[in-house]
Amino acid sequence: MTLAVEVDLASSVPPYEQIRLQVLGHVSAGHLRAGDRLPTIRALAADLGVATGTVARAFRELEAAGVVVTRRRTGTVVADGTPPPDTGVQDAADRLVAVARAVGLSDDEVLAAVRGALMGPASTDSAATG
Amino acid sequence: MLTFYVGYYLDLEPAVLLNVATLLALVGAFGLAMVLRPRPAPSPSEVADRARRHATIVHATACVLGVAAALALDVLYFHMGHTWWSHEDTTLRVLQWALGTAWPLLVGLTYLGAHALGAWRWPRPAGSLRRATLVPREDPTPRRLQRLARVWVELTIAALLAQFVVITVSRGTRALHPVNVLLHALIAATAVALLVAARGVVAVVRDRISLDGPPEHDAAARRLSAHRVLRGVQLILAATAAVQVFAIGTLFSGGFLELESVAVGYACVVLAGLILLTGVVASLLPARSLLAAARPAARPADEPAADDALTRDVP
Repeated sequence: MTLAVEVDLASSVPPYEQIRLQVLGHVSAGHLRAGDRLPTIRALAADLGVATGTVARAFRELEAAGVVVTRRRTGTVVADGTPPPDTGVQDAADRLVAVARAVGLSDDEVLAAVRGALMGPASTDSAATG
Repeated sequence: MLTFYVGYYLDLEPAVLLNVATLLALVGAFGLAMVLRPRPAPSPSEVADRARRHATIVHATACVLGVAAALALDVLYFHMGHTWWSHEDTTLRVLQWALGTAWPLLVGLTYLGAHALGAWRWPRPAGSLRRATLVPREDPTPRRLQRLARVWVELTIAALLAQFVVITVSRGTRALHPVNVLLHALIAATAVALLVAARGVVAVVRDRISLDGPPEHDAAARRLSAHRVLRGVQLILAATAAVQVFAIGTLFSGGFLELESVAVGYACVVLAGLILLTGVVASLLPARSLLAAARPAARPADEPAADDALTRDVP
């Protein structure tokens, strides 16, 4: 698969947040592993046609969350301590996406369904016991 | 540059005509190559198609500007030669020397400048939906061409030093005039500066905006541009090295030294010709099918080679 990020400038979600979420998604899905290099801030900003500050903010927040580290010689790389994705959850997510694609749901509709599930009874039970 | 030396032996006007004829032949050869090149297949997307057109226009513009700069500088050089000869103006003579020395750098910078500008003005992403790969860019430098360019610079410096050695052995250190030493240092500096500038432009190509599409397609297009940048520089650097080796030959066979040796002189002239020929071949050889090298797996037979359009080179 192509490791890419997409930014929708018309979306209500700020571009830096879209970048942050997608990089996080690639790390969580295991497409990006510890030690993998990311493009430079300037290169990614140029490719997306956004300001360098936008990409810099996304990378800064990812760094603060411990997802990536920035080193002088190697640039921005995925951090060593990034937890590997839970295979069961990842498989379930893959199946969810496959079903959603089959019935023709858009990304926003899939995310709305997940958010709804997170706010449902299973989620509140889990939160109460946890 | 060889025509500068030809100018010493011929009348100035025929030398200018020879110069113009050579450059026009180069323009004609380039135009013929453009006309005879294979028709590109359709690009995979509108953006890729725009990028292909942009790359072709940039390369053609760089070639035309380089040739035009060479032509203009040569005419100016010979005009200045005429003027200082008839008016015995020392300042003009020094300026003519400076122009002759800076000739490769000025022509090279014109060519490289057009390529750098083209990379900076690469088609930018448009529309509200933007896409970019998360894979870092590869270094697109063609190693063989870069090594060859370095060889030409090293050869130029070695030939300049050899001229000093030959003059010193034959006439003693008093024969090394400070102006002559400065001129030789400037020639070496211009060759080094041109090599550094070429590497700088390749870095600009490396950092330019990615094409929307398969990453290997973008990488191949980037390598093709870097190849074109270094190909143009080959000719200039090889010509500079050839002129300096040719100059050693004239030292030996021109009756300037007590160490006169016609055989060594001719050997140097032949070597200069070979250097120039190698430079011409290196600058005219198109890049091999870069995308084919970049593609990791074989394509199904029924799938069209749509994305070859951008990465096919012309001489």
